[in-house]
Amino acid sequence: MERVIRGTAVFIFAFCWAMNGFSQKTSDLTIAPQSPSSQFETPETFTWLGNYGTFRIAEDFFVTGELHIRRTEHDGVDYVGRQAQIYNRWGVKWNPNKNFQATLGGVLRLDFTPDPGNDDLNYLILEPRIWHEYLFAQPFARMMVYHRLRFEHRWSSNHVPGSDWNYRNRFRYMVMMKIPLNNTKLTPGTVYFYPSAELIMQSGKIVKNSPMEDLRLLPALGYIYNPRISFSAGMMYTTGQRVQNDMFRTRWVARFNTYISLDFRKPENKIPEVNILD
Amino acid sequence: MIVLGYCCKWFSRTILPVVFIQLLFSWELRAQNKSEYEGAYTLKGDSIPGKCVYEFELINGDTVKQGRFSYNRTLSVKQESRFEAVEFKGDYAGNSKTGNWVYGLKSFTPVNEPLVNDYSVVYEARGTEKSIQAEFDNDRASGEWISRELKVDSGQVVDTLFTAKANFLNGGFAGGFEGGNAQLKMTGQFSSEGLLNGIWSFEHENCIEEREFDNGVMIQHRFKVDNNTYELNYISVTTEDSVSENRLREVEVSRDYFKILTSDRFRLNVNEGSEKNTDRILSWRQLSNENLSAALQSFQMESGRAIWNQLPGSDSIQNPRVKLILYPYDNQEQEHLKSIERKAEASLKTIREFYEDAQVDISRHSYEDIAYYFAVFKRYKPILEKVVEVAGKFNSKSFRFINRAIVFPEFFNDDQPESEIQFEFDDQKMQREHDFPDALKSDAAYHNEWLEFTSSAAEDVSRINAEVDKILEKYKKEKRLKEVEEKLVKAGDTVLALYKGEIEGVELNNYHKQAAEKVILFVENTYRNYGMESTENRLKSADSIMTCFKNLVNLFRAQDKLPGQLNRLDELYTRTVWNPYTMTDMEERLKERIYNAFEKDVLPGFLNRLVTEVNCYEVSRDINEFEKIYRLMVKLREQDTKDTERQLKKASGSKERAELLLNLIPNRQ
Repeated sequence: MERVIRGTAVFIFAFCWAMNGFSQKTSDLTIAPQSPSSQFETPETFTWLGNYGTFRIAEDFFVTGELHIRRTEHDGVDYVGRQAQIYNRWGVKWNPNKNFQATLGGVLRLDFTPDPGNDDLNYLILEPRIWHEYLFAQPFARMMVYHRLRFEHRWSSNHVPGSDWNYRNRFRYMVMMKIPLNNTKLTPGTVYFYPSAELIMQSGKIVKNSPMEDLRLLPALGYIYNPRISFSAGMMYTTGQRVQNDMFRTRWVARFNTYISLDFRKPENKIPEVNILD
Repeated sequence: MIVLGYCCKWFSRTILPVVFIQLLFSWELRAQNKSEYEGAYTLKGDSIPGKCVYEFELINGDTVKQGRFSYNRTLSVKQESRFEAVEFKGDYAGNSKTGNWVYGLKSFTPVNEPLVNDYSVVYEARGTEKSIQAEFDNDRASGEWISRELKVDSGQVVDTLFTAKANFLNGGFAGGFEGGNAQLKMTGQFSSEGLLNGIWSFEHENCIEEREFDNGVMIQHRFKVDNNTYELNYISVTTEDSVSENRLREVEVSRDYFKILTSDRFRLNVNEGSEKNTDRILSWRQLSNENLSAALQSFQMESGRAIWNQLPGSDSIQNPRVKLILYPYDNQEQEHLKSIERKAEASLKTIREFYEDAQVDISRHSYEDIAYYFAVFKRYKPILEKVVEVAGKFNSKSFRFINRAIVFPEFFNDDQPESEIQFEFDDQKMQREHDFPDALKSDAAYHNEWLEFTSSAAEDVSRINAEVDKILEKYKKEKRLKEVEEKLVKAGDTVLALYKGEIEGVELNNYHKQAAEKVILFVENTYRNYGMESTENRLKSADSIMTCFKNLVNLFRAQDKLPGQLNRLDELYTRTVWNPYTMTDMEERLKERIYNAFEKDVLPGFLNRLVTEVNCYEVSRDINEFEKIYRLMVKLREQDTKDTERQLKKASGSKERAELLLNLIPNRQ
């Protein structure tokens, strides 16, 4: 465990250092010192429903498709008051070995108006993204630790009609763990503890003094129903700099995810298991 | 002149052709009456034909030999590198031998280097030539016959091995006889009936043997050596004045006669002051018998085959004869003699088997009784061998002419076995008394006592044999028990060592450990109970206990395999799926209902019998059954089992599910 924490800390430091270097090389991306006036906003509440699908199409390749439905507080209703976003994320995943995955794909985010009924705002705007991520898995005797680097290139505007499109980059690092609680391994029937921490940095023209877009801390519980279906649920706390001001946005997000993994290969292409005793 | 010329002309033209034609026709007539055959001819009783030339006439369609006959056949005896040539020459008259005949048999081996002579390759020969100059009168031996055997070497006659000259009348010996060789000269006379008559003289190198016959009855047999005369007085053969003629029987002078002669006991009378030399006398007698027999047979027999009967038209030559006194058997004597021979043979067989039995040889060092009987049988063996031999003689035809009651004591003289038996046992000299049958005594009813003696001996031998059998049986049982117990203990100790984990390199798994206490207790109890049993019961139960221990060893092996087999099934019924979210391989059960039926409904029963409740007598069946269900599970993994899974789903309880699965085992009983 100590090794995991130490490794994770080293990785976060290295990532931040790298990001720092990156920002220094970019003329329009500077990290200003923390403004003394910065303060945390009152937390908003969200509910994120995520459906993750991964479909094996070849020995080392998968097609991923995710659908996220996110609702937020509105009109006195916490967590689910209005529709916030719908994400449609897809990609092609390369999984050459048991410790590494790389994925490249696109996202179409449907962003719903923050003020339903306000005709001055567009009800729905789109935000396309290109994303690629690199996932490293560290197996341990009784748990798995993952390090995820995700990079997103996004084009966004806002709900005010005629708004400009802004291009931003996101640099995300997440460390997460899956610790089986009622088992020694992540096998069907296992309930596991699923803590994660993700730091999301950003860059772009509009990003002046707010490179830290979000820091997400999520303790969750998961359950593996079978090798193809599992679930998780948790309450995530996030905080990050707003682009418009020095305020730190905070959120409580109730997250409910389902994970579906299917093998679409032809049966004859599935590598048969090896029975050593045969 | 003209007339004479005319007559000559007429004679040459008319008479001469007629005369010529007449002559020609008369020759043709003769040629039609007598013909000559030249070609292959096979002697009677032979299979290889020789060359034959003979004259014959066809009378009423039948071939009738008439005139010259000659036959010869040369045979190569390759194994012995020699040639054998047979020759017959003589005349037939109306298919009957008549006049002079010659028989020859040459047995030659080529020697020296071959010699090419004109267009032939000639070898000198070494070997023998037998020949008979014979005379027949209408197929019956007649006149003077000469039989010879010559020795040939390097193509030359180098010695006369044997000569015999005899006279025949009407197919039988009659008149003078002489014969012999370098060592012996024989002369004698036959009566016109073919009986030996007068003095027959046998001139040996240092002895003249004389057998005096009176018309076939030998009245004296003497040997003149230097100036001494030895006289053999036969008990049975010679006649006495009191013997009536009707007790005399004619016997051919053949091997049987000489057997009678040599079987009969005699008294050797010798001049006062001369040395008795029975052995030499008997050897001369033997030589005379052999030569006389050979000489008489030489006229008609060759290697057991009647010479003249090989050709058609020969009456057998009547053998010469002597007269002997007949001592007829009565029924009881005959019966007794047969019984004696039979009983003695049976006892002797028992004794021989006793000595050939390796168990006896071994056990006589362990059992005093066997050693004692070993010595007793040693006494019995020569006596019974003699009984068999003498009884055989007494049962033979020749002994009809021997006074058996008188000669009997001559065979059994002082043959009472000593009752004191000395033998060795355990490196010590031992002594015991044995009650042998009473000695044989001679009297008129010799066979009664002989039978009694033989019967007693046979009973004693039989009793001893039965006694020995009992001892050997006990010995065998003990030996077998010892062997069985050695194996038993070895097997039991193996079981204990296995379950106690004392065998190096063999580790106990959980199943072994679970069963260990029970198995160890069982083996130790078995040892204790077995040890308290009698020898008989131990022998009876040893095999089943042995089987039990072997089963337990098999059980250990089965338990050893069990984790591997269960793991194998677990693996077979487990599918590994890569989960890209957890980035781990995830396992899931395949054909879950079938596997669960095995694991939860069938396996516990087996584990109970193979591990918890071990019953060594039934464990073999359980191991076998488990192997079957294991193989079934391996097989089901690859088969379409939808129906079975459906039935398992519907099944109401564990027992039903177990039965459903077990019933899938092929040929399950």
